[in-house]
Amino acid sequence: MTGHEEIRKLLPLSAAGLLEAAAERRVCEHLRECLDCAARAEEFAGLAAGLSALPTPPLPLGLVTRTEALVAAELAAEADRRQGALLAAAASVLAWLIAVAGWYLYRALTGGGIWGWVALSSIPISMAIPAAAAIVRRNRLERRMS
Amino acid sequence: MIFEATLAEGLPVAEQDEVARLRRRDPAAVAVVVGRYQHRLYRYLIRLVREPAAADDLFQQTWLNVVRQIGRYDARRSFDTWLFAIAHNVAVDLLRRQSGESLEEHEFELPADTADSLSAVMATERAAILAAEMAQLPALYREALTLRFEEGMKLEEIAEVTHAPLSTVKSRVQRALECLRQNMCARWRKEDLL
Repeated sequence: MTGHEEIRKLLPLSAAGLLEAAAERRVCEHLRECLDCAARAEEFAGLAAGLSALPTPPLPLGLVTRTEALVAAELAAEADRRQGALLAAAASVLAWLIAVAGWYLYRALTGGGIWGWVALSSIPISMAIPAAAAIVRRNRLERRMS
Repeated sequence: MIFEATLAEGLPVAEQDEVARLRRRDPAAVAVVVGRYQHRLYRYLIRLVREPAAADDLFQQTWLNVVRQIGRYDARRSFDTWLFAIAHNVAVDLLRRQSGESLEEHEFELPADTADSLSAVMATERAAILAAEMAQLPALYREALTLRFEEGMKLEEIAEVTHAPLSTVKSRVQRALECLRQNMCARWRKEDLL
């Protein structure tokens, strides 16, 4: 490839300001001697200037409002999920504490075995799960209504 | 706080505050940040997908992803670049699904070189013609041009947004400008524009 052809390939990058200093110097030196390349460089410079000055397309009406509403709904849903997870974690800790305390209490009062305690502790658990689910559902509904 | 300290290095004070509030899921901060970037983001998306309805959807999807992924944002890096990378990803997903729009790296055929002077074409209708010609280019070239010339991004920033090597970005900008110049020369004559 001749120096002339090589420089030609660099002209778009020179117009885009993406050439390193050494390459840019080579281009400048060549342009002083080659009228053909100088004319082409001018065309690229015109294109670059035109592209930088293109008018910004107008935003569709209501796009930002719709986006903000969508993002707000997403944040609310996320808050719901966080609250649900927090509630579930708190319920688990509470259930564990009740179960451990219940085991000591059950053994002290009745002297019964592990299976009796398991059967007895399933009663509060079967009540707590639907109660937690109902709280989460109600919170979600409240957020949707507000 | 380490987070606050790292924020201070990269972003102006107002933006630091907005990004920190965004991390805390403050809805008011969302409105401020959307407002700040609305025109630039929409311009990038419309240049990439060309259809206003699609750009509209992608705009909303981008902000949803921003809110979902803000925890992963590295405050030492530019928020602009991070935001445009998210927009790039959602746009690429759409373009992959659309028929007739390729995002594969390929040699775009250049039209035959002509001797017409482009300087004659650079007249009053230049912006409209240029935008129309730019829309005819492949998506990868349109993206490279809008990020370089409209967003004024550096080579490294474009590479980060598009997940492409520096040499590829350079090559895209070079070929995009070459295509644009040749298309303009081939299709527009001086008398058509006067």
